[in-house]
Amino acid sequence: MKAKIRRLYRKRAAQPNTVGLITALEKNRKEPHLKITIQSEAAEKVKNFLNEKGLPERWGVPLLIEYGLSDETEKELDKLKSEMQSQMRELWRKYALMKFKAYGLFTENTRITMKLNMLLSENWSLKKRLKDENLLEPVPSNEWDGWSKTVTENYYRKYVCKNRL
Amino acid sequence: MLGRIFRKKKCAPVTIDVFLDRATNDRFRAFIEKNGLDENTALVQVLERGMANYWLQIFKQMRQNYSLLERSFKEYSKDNEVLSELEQQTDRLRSFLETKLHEKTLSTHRSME
Repeated sequence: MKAKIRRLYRKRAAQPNTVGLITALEKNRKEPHLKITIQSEAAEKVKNFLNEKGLPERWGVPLLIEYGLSDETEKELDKLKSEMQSQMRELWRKYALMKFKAYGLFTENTRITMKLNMLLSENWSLKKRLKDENLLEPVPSNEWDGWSKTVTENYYRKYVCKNRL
Repeated sequence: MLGRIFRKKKCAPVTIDVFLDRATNDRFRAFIEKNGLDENTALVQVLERGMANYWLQIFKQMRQNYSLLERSFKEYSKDNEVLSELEQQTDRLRSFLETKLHEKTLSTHRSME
């Protein structure tokens, strides 16, 4: 019994210390780390701005830094501003509409892809039977008649496993 | 990329603690060198520019997203045409076969009678 307990303790001791591991990972983090002290007015301004936009500091501060370091010159920014004023509303409308339609198509494709293998085998066997029994002349030929396993797998990957979008 | 704004004591200056990706950090260093600023001033300037151009950047990003979405939409509609056609054809063929088999059974019955 004692030996068993000792073995269990040894096994437990051999397991990695998760907290220690995370701390070590944080310390050895490859991403550059900035820790800069700034005036409180500027920080308040940033805080208020992020609150107003509903952005958490966690993501908002790096985002503002990225936006602030964008390559556009003042001239390009002015051009972008005028484009934004004229196109923003139309673009939002088109974007929302297309997103809605794309989502509809995506779910429809997912639904069919879920039963794609069954559909294909049924389609092939129906065609074969109609041809063998001379019930339909000519039996239609389509692009899916020659589909290999790779094609169906690609559909699965795209619509069921959702590795796209 | 993660960040936080904090101060250790009530009256102490505010610290911005942020993890950037390598490319952004390089650009930040280049910005400091180019303008001959210290880190604090540079960060404040960058943050102010980011806040001023926030909506412009959102618009720019949305335009990029829109073109990506348009491409995906075309792809989905093309796939949908094929997949729906496959489904409809299978239904058509099934009902056609059922009708034929039904007719066949009826004719057999009639001939037996």
